[in-house]
Amino acid sequence: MFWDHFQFWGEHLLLVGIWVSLALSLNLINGSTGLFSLGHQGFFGVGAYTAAMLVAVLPEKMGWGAPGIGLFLLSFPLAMLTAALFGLLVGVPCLRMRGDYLAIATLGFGEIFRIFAINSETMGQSRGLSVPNVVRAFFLDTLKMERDDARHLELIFYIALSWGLSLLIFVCMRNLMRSAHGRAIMAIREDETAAELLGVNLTRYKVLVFVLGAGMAGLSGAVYAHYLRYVVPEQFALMQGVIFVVIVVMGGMGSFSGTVIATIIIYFIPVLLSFSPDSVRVPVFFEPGRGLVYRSPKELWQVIFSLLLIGMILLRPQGIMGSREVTFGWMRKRAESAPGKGGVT
Amino acid sequence: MTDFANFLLNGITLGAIYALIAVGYTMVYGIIKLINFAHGEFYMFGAFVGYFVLTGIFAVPPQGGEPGYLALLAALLAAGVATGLLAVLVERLCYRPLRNAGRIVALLSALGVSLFFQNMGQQAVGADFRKFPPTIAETRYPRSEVPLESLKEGQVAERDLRLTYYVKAEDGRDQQRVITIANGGEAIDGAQLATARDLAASSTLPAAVHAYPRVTVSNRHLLIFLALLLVSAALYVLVMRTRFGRAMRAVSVDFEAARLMGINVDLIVSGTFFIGAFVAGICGVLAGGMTFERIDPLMGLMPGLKAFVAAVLGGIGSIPGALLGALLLGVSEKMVEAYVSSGLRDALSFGILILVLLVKPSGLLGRFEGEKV
Repeated sequence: MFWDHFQFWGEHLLLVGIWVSLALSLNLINGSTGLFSLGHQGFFGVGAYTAAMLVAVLPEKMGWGAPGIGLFLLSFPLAMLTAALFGLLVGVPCLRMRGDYLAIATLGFGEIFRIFAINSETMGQSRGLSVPNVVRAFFLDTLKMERDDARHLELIFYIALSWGLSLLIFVCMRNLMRSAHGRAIMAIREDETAAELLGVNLTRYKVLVFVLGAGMAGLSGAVYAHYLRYVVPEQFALMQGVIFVVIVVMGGMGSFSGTVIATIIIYFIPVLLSFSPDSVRVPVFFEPGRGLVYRSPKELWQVIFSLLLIGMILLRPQGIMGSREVTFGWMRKRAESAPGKGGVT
Repeated sequence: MTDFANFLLNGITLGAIYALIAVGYTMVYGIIKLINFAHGEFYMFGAFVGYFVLTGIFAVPPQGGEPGYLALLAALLAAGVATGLLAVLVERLCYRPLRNAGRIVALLSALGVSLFFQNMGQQAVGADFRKFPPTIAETRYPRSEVPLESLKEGQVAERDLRLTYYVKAEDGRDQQRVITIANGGEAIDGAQLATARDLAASSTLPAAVHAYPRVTVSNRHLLIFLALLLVSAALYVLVMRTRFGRAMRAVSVDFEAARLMGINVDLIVSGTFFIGAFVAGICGVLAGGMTFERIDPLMGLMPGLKAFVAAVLGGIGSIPGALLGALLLGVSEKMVEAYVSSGLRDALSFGILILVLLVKPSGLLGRFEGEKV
């Protein structure tokens, strides 16, 4: 009974972890630096496809038999490197563009990647690739575990992996933004021309941000491909990227804790909607000759999502957190000012 | 050579479709510097308004007969006006409050509007394709009539010979059908000729045999060209010869200064949205409905993006640029599809987009705007 619930909620926990890591890397590009990219799903896809091809296509082509855990472990740094390389590829030409033009160009790059995947034989065209379950095989064959134990441990492993990755990215981002490099990056967001006049090397920082952000998105992609055990081009369509852009805007551009909160909200709204009973039906349209069209709330998630986006932009364009962070300083302050503690006034 | 001519003709048709969508993009960008992502959805909305007018008011079932040009005109007008009003509403609710909030914020709002129409459309009318009613009979030109009696078995046809005949459709209207008797250069088959004679005899309206050359153009494509010509001429007169057009040009040069000169900028912006969406709505019926013959809530996505690429290629903000860019894009897409690979067709447009943004961001006919510090 416990394990049934664990399977259900554990999978959501794991996917939220991947979403958080991806949103954090996008926040570096879009939020902290203000380079408005609409192509992050492409970097995510490059990482996912690299990992998938390494364990699904390469051993088959080379005649190595089933992929081992070594190849699995190798796929993460390799996915990161390939995605970072793509980040360089996109970042360098996009240096000269600003604002909406940059958004459109990155959108173009993302779409080109997807169209390439649809047309490439090795990448499985629109059918995509199915990825062998290397972790399960390792638990069963090498560690000689029971089938149920292996299944549960696999989920725990992936939860730890995705949240570990998120934590790692979170800490790296926080430290980066507190350093001199971080200040330079923020200066670019606030005013590019002024930052350049103050001696910030625009070229260097913009390329750095694209390469870093893309590399981290590639890592998230590798986790995603290994856990889901398939990749198809449609997972990396524009709409998927837009979800993460909305998360970053909703959390507050440049606020890392805001991004985490927004990811959890956006992820769990459709999960909660899916619990709505079938008897609840909402009229959405009157079609001539057919009468009223009814839909259940769970089908309306994407409509709600787009309304949420428009509403948020109109009412609170700075997002939930603005560019502030959730800190625990207020707890300390309260403890210090409590009577009898002799806090500094 | 005939193949090339056909590809070129198809490319120009596709280009004309992109042009009709791209003018709306470029006009809106010229005035308020907004990439209106929802413009492709206006094209979709227009097609559905046309569909509901034809199936609802004129009661044409998807496999039904052809009510003719009057019904088409009504559907076009309804689609244009409804789409235009929708665009005015969208601008008032979702873009006007953000006019001073920066381009990226407005771009996100436009993205939200686009997603709303796509998703709401899928919930309201379903995600599946719907067949668009035929409305007018398809005729290909040039053609010359050949008497059926003069054809003999074994005779070599100089050109493609096709019989046009009519049957009663399920709604009682006459519906046109076409069968091929012989292709150009082939001998006429006896059995096929006998079938054609039977069909001609049972036709509800007078049937006729026509000879067609290798390169022909459909009357539906001619309608798109006609619409493009009318739209271009009307826009030229509007922008260059009227008070409204002069105000539009003033607003596009300097928004604030135009307001100080006593121009009602809100009215100009609303008017621009109405005109752009009116044209996109008409194009939805002519292209999405009449030419591609099937419509669905996501039909605006790709043509919208392509039209945007066309507008950037021609120089965003410039109406002649949008027309030129659209025609170039349409022809090059069809050429790539014909001679390279159909899969690379979509990649080509995005490649062109990135290349233009890199090499000449002002496009072919656009003006360069320096950055104001």
